[in-house]
Amino acid sequence: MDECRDNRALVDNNEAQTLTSEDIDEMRRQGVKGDEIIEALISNSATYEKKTAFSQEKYRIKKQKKYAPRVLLRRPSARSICEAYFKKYPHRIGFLRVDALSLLLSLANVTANSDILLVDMVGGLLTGAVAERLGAGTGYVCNTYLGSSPYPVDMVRTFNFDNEICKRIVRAPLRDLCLDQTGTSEKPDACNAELNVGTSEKPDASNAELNGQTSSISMEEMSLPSNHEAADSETTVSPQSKMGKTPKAGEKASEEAIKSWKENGFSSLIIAAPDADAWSLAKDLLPLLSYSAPFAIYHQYLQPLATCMHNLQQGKMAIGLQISEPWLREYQVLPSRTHPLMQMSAFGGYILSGTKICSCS
Amino acid sequence: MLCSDGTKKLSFGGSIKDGDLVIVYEKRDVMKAVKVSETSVLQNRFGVFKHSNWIGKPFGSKVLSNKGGFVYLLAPTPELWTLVLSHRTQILYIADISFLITYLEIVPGSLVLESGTGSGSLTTSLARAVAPTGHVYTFDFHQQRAASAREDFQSTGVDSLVTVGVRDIQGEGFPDEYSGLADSVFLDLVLLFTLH
Repeated sequence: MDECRDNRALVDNNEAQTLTSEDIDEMRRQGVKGDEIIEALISNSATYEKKTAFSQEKYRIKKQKKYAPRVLLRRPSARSICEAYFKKYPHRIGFLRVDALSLLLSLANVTANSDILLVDMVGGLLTGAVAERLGAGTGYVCNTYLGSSPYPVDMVRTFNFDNEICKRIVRAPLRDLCLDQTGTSEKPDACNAELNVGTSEKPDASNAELNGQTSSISMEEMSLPSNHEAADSETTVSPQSKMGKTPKAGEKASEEAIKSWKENGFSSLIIAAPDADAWSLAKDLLPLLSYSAPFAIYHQYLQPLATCMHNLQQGKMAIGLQISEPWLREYQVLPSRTHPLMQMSAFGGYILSGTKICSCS
Repeated sequence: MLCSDGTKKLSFGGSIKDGDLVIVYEKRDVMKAVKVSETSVLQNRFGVFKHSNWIGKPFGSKVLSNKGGFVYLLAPTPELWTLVLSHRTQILYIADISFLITYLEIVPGSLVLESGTGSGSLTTSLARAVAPTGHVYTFDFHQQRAASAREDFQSTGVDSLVTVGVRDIQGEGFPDEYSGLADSVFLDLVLLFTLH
């Protein structure tokens, strides 16, 4: 492209455009279409002709965004939901970038008809993404948690899952999943310890959730403390939960399912818990997996994963251990203007992955 | 590798049987796919391993050689397969594969078109993503490579989810019968800028 124009004569003093905002408002009142307003702005710009062709195109696109915006409505998917949250509220998803999320799903061999154990402290994004890949059919996505209050997984609702998939999303506290064939005294320390910590830390949060938000229907259901007395009353839970059109994802796992998991183990494990320690979770959750089951642990920072990896190696609990740092660069693709975007996310977190092995000889 | 039978669940809890595909793990970057057979042996720097010792053990087990050395036997997954498959062409690895599948929004039941099949690395992951009700139609213009890919998909047990065709997609486009039906299309072609 032969371009002789440049910006040597362009002065940025806000005097190039002769139309005022009142003129534009008047045009809008008269019902002038967005595209016509844009043409008017271009023809009333003293400097438009002096700009390079690329620059003119940028100008036109900028005006289009303001005066004739176009939106494309698409069905939500793990990708679009993750990208949206990462742009706007990354802290709510623990800075889990879309490529890191994709890696978690692959490394943990998420597929239909499998039982996936999750620790989702990233608002439900992980749960939704896993459920999307699990599909309807058999198998479960089981969210587990220390203590008695599940972590909020509101974002699952954004996925618009139908009933069949919602049924696959369940929850169970860690103490219910722990293998205790030799009696309650044999339960791992964490199960008992967290029971005390959980109930003392969480009650205020749970009450706030119950009283506050009428809009987060599924969140209300899940913040009810799950002790034995409440278990019965939960099935006849407050009328508010029935009025919502949202199918119920995140119900308590059935006794039958829990029994099956204790017998066969889960087929994989994913942990995305920015505020928890990777090793303390891993050491209690790995025993719940089948042999040869893959697992993937996401964390924003490297050190906790390095410690976890070291301990897993020492304890001979897993093989194929590796820590990955996903890297994602976005490009603008236009003729003669293809280049990386000027800003790039450098912090997508890290993932520790591996395969559980049978310690029997 | 996968459960296309909706009544069974994917569970590694099963034990190794004669005829199963296992991934023999020596260390992180030394792994090999082996078909278990009653009468076969595996020989490596750790010694001689009789397959018959493996049968009946759970996946994920440590097995010993005649010299006391050991390896682990893992159940195959698309990730492990990508690391052990034989390269007839350059392949895609996990980082790109995982990103692609999320970007293409592939879910169980999807119909996916792929060209070219190459060594079937991506294809195996696509099969996992569409299982049990979807399908992958993959094409390669090289007859022998298409045949090798078909063999691989049989070994890994994804052949009911994948159909390999021999066709020059760049020259002829995808077959008309899929027109308007594909949920996702993946192209990895040689001369992309000549596509119309």
